[in-house]
Amino acid sequence: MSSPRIVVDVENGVAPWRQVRDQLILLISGDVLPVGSRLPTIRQLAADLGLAAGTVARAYRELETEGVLTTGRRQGTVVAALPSYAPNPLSAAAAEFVAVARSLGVSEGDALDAVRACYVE
Amino acid sequence: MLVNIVIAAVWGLVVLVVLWPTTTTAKRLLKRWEVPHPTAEQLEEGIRYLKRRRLLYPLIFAGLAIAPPWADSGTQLVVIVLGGSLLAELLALRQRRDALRVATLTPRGLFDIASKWVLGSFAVIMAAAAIYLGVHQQWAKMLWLALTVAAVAVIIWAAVARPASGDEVVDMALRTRSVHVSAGLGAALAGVLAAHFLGFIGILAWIAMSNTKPQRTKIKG
Repeated sequence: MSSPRIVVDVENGVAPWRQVRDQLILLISGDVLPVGSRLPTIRQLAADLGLAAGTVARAYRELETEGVLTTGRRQGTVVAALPSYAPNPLSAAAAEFVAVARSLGVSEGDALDAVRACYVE
Repeated sequence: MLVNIVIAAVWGLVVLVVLWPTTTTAKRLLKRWEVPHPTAEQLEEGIRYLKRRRLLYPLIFAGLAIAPPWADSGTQLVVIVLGGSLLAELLALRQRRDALRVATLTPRGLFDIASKWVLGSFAVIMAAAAIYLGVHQQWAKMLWLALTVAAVAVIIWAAVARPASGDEVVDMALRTRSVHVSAGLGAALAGVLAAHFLGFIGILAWIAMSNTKPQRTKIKG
């Protein structure tokens, strides 16, 4: 089974730290990352996403403040609790779709046409 | 001098041509590192990994032609392989610049990708070689040993820290390979530098470390 992923589009207008934070909340709320799951270090996630360490640190810090994550010296960063709220899953799915469409160089009109075509099918 | 460098580079080129990575080579590599049925995409990743190392051979052969003779050709070959790994891992540290970036959430600490036995044995062999060389006051060899330890340490650090690329399973397996094989090469070099009896142990350690399989990393703590 493949492990959960984070997708960041640095050109979609949403701050990368917020994209990381929102996707982590979605994965934790959906039980893809249950309580007790270990997360990668800030340095690892930042290197893999090609972001500054401070960007990922901000996402982790926000979630620590909300009590969702906890960081210890021995265990690293782990999921401590479910978020008290969950982001709208439709918005998250739409954001991911837009990110993929942009990476393919598809215009807004063509992307919307593709969505409508799926409804017709 | 220039002629020697050119001849060495041509030798490197010949080795590169002979060892040019193909789908078959990549399949063998991945099967050995616990990817039993690699897909076409995974094979591409394996070929890329091997090419990154072997394309540097002509350069390293040429570089060694400049260095003063200090060991037999077998030992120098080990240095070439270790040097290739070192440069390849350093090159792989380059950051991604595409707009869309993907990362998996699998933690990747040193002990998530490498065997404690391999790292522990490496440390013990290096310490034994250092003690032997210190007692016999062979300071020139001690310098080579220090360079070997530094090279392996940088490879291990880079194998953990470099950004993920391609398929996750292959990425993790090849990181483990980088750590285990470089630790094995380091142990073999330390053995050769210290003494002939330790050289035999070093070569045995190299074979054992290069065949120690990766463990599966778990996200759940």
